Amino acid sequence: MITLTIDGQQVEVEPGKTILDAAKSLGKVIPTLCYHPAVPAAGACRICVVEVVAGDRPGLVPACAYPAKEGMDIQTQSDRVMQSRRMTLQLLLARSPGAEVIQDMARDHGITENPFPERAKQTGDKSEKCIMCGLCVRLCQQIIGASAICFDGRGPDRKVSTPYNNQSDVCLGCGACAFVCPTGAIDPADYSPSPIEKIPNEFNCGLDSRTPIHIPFPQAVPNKPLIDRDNCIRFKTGGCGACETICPAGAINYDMEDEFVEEEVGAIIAATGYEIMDPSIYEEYGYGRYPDVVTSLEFERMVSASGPTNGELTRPSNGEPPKTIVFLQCIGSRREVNGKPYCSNICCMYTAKHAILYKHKVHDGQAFVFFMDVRAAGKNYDQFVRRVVKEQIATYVRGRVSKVFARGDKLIVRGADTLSGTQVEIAADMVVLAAALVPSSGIRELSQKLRVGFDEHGFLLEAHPKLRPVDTNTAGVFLAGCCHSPKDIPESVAQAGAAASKALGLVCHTRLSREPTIGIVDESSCNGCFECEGVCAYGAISAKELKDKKGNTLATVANINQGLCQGCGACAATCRSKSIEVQGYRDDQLFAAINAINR
Amino acid sequence: MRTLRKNYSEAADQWEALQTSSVPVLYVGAATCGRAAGAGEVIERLQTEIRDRQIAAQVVEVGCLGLCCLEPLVVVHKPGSPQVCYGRVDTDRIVHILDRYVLGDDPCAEWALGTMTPGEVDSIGKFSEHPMMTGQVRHVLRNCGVIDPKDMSHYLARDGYRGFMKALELGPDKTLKEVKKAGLRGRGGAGFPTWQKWQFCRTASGEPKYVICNADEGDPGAFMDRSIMEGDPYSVLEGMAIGAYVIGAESGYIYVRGEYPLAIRNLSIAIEQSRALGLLGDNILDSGFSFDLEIVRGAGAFVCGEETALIASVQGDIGSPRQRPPYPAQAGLWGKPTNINNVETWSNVPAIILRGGKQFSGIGTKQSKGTKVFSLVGKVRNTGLVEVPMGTTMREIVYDIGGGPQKKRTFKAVQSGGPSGGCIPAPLLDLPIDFDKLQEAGAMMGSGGLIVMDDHTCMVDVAKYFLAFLVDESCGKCTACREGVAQMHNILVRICQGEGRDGDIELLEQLGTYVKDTSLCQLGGTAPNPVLSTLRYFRDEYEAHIHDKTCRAGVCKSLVRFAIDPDTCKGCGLCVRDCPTDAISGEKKEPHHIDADLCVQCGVCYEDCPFDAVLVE
Repeated sequence: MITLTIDGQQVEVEPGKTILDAAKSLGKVIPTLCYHPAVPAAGACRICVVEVVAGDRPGLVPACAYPAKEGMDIQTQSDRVMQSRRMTLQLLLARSPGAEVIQDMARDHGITENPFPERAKQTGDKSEKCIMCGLCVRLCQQIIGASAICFDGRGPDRKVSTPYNNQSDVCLGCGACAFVCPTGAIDPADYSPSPIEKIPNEFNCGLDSRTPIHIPFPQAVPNKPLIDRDNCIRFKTGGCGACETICPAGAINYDMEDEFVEEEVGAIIAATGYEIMDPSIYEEYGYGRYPDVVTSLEFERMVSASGPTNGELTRPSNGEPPKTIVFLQCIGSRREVNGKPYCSNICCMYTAKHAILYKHKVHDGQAFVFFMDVRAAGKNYDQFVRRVVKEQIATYVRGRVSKVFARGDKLIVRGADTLSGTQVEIAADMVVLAAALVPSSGIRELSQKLRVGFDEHGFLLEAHPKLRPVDTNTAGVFLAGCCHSPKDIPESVAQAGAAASKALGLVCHTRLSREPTIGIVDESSCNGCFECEGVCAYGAISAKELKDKKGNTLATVANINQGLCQGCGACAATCRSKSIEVQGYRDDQLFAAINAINR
Repeated sequence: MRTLRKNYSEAADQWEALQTSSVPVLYVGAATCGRAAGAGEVIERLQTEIRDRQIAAQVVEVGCLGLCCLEPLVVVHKPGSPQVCYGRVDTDRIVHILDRYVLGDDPCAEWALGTMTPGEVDSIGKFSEHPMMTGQVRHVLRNCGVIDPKDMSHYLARDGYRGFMKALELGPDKTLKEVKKAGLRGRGGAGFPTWQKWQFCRTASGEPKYVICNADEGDPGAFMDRSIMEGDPYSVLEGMAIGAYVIGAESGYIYVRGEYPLAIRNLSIAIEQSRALGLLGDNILDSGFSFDLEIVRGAGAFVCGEETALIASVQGDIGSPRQRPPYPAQAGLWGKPTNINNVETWSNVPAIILRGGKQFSGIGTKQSKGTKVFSLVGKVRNTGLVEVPMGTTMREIVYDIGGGPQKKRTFKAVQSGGPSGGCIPAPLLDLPIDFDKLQEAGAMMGSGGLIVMDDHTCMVDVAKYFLAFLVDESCGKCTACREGVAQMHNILVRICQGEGRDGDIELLEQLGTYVKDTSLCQLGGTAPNPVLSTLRYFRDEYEAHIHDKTCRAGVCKSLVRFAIDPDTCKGCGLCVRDCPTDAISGEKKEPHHIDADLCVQCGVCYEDCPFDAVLVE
């Protein structure tokens, strides 16, 4: 370990650490501009200079790039240091008067006027904020490995540019340069030949972008960041690795792989939720064609305080608040042809809620709702909708919309008001589509795995619509929420509670009690053809080896899992050797019953 | 170990044959300086004459003797006569010399500078007693202008590579001790003890190690290294081989600026020839030591003379310096221990090893040993390369060797060390020149450029000139140098335009101290020196520019008005002839007059007037 003194305080650091590292471990703040922990330091901006008083060649050295040495005595705030920093800031201000970071630093250093004239007339271009610190150049070259940015020229005429001033065909469009730039002077679009492809933020419906390292959504479990391998530079090119350098906990491990986890369980609850159907198939609504036509889920994110605009509701097309908004109900729902015949169940209520949220955001705005009929069956639901109508939060128009089209920067919503029998046209700023709910993709694969049936729309089937709405036909598999049918939150919560108690009811006992009417195998006559295995809908039949006392296998016969068998009798009917019978409904029992009746 | 005895004896024979040639031998100084003055045409003419007229004579192209103001130089060696050196030999003069001296008996004494070998011809004095040669000690330049730089036998005959062979016999330890005993300090500017630098690199961990020759001589008005490389390239190679042997390096690079094509050519030839003799390559002379060299051409950046920038450039990166430590001795080229010395330092080494460190340390001052080559330029009568022992005073160089200021001007100052150096004013003329004394005076040895300035030189303008150079040459990496020097230059431009303000001097000093303190590399660290040293000795000139809006030297156009003193003007008409705007009028032999409305203050008349009748108002 190396011991040195900083501002009179002793500190120990490992060999190879810089003065800046040592100062940080003491909690001292030394201003930096061209420094980033993941990029090899260059000591170019000179703002981090500190004074070596003793222990090495005395003078000013850059803390970020100067190694700590045994016995060094460092001053971080001496007159000489502060004079140098002030001068550096004045010179940088003369070069880049528009750089807010420099302005702030200058203010913090008590600089009120600058003896140096501005080096060039400022046009307000972003690149004028560049202080030529070269952090982006070093990053792109040494960390990303792309070398898409370089310096052009030298001395005061130096510029950050691309090789030969051409748009760089080696730029990966990763935007790391813009991220590290201390003054916000970089627009990666200036360097990249193809448009910078931002990674859409899935949780915000792609309305904003995210970095390759991200936490999938707020309150995720576990609430930890993950690396998106498809977009990570490290996985794409083998370069970068900045996160590994920076992470103080050493938690980054590029060798980690996705893995299969096997668990033995007593019960399974399917709760895979829903998706909304893509409304762009209905060209008349213009979704996907006009940026201001959004789905209700997108609208939900737009008005959310944790959403892409931090809760500020703006038109995607121009960033203005929408003064007129139209909500269209039943987009795809209750539509026999080319849609979903079922009611999506929740749209009436959330649309009423959205109308209220809209009024909260845009006080002077006008909201319209096109509806077929309002289905507000639930506690206080009807009152809620009536309030929206009565308080004129939204104007409800009963009818369908035939077309949404653009006129100027407005969207014209043309529809029918069936109550007055007239055609209406509304010039809207934004149109919100209440698209139909559909089960999550992949539900069919899941249903096969669980051996649970699904209906024509893909929703999982319950065992009995009235008597066993939470169970499935497969014992131990239960349903909760929208995998079963479109549901709102209270209903989903209720079903989930029921499913949970059902599951607990199964696993809380040491023994499982069942209906006795299940299949049994006569092992003496079973010839092991396993025709029965194929017909069992519940996966209850498996192979069983019969062994003698020495452990030699005598025969392989069918075995019925008593916990899974539902007693349907399909196996008994299939069995050619008549080796399977359903308990309580054995042939001899049935014949005995018939004989008793005849007697 | 092989001794190359046969090669040496052959070389000695060839050299002897040349010295005792039965036909006249004409040595033409054909280094870049000579060629610039027309040596190429002289050689061409000479060869045509010899061929066409079937004259029995031999022409040998040699390097530079250092008397640049008298170029082209031709030395004629007639059998039985001493060598005679002629100056300012143009294509006409060479024909005269051929006719009158080579073919006749008239030694053309009016053009002769002196005899270079014992013997007398007419009344021609000795070359060594020529004013420009007296006081010089030719140690580094011993071969320049004497040998054919493309003929290795000449070098071998003059003890070439004997220092290297001695080093191989002595072993690295004793060789290093010899260098230490010599007290040789780096000639590139900083004056760091060479032996110590070698020692650092030698003991540093890491393989392989490298040696580099810094031949990126970039100071305006400095050309010592070029002359050495052009006139005696072998000595650089030999010095590097010795250094590499001590350090344990197997490969070396010579980083030459691309503006030195002749030096690159001569070095390449020397490398080829040395390889052919087995003095470079694997297992040199069966000693077990291997060493080879490569030339890297610089693309023209002053900052690449800084060692870390030079290394970056060799590696193919942008020539920008980096923060030290680590120093190149620890982590240099490709991150390996690297030793960098400049041309003159390397060139000093062979003789030190051959003749012993003691002989070398016998010359010079207590702290600075040996000789130093200076390029003496500017407003002095004799310009050229001079090699003097350390401790020689500035007066001796400027007045004795240089012949003092031109015309009847008064000496004002000498800029020492190029743009990074500083000026030494007249009162300090008796300062003995060595590394430390120059530093104390606020200048530096630098690589050895001496620019003489007289009373027609404006010191503010000089500072502005050097800063303009440094602004151009700053790599732009660190804020202090990139922005600071540019702002200093802006202030100087303003002052020279008559827009100086109160507080400018203080701001310059403040900025100068800041740039010196805060810059990343030594180029930036020394960049304010021209301003700080002129402020130190010529503050009154700055004040006159700012407060009185006058430039006494008559340089800063915005501050100058020229007038003709009717009492002194003889009406010769020289100024009328040269005035670009026809602003001067007057009858012959009558006092002339300058029309202030037409005058553009170019200063031609001021420089022209043989009677100093043009005055600065």
